[in-house]
Amino acid sequence: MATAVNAMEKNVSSLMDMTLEEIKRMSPSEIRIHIEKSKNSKLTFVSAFPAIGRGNVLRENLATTEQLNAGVDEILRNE
Amino acid sequence: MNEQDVYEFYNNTTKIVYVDIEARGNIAPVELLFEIHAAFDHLKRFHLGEKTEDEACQKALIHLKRASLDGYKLILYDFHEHYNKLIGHDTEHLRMIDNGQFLPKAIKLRNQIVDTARTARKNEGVTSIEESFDYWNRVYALIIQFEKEFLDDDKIDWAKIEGKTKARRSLRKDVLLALIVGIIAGIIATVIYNHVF
Repeated sequence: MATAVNAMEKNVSSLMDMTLEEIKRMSPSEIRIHIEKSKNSKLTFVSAFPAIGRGNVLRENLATTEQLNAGVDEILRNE
Repeated sequence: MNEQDVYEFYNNTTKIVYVDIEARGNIAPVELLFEIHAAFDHLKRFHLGEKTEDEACQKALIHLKRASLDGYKLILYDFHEHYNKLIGHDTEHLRMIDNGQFLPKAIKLRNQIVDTARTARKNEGVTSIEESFDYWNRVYALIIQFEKEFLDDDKIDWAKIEGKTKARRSLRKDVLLALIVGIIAGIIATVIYNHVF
């Protein structure tokens, strides 16, 4: 069992190019920034339904913060 | 159960699974985020006096376990897509790798992954969930083994090139043979024609 658990810990360490302890200490934002830098692209929020999950009302309409802000700004401009 | 237990599970399991998925595909599945959100909401009920610490943490942990198990499933899903892409419709070029051993070994390991995952899924009920994690960890280790042994782009690209080269050589041989047969047939036809007429 220890070997199987270690496989993920080792792989994640390798994917992130940092120790497991460093990863555990990082905040979600820090992790996001680190991965975006290494991939040179923005993190994408996706819906994996129906592969997993028990229903997601945002299935077809996932929006980034930027898109939401742009949408709201557009509404406010027209008011 | 107390909050320490919940945070330790989050830090040692949920977060690691989540980071694996994020680091592979630069994606954040909202279903996992929802479960973490739900766990957070249960924890707050202890601090706002709505539930005892044990009650709130038990519920929170269920959501984190759900998130982690869903994470493993996504990793399996991702593997399944890579496997189908590898095998595809044409396995001729794969039969050239490692003296023909590549393809049967890949299929065998893939079957082992699927069998172990089936057992993991069967154990996802509340009473056997810890066993489920053991099996899912094994599935993960097997997937990593598969990725290292069979998703080596250099080997597969070599086989594709070799396959195309062999196909071209074979086509050239066939064309040449057809040409020679055609010429001979033409000569024979001409001789016969001249002899008869």
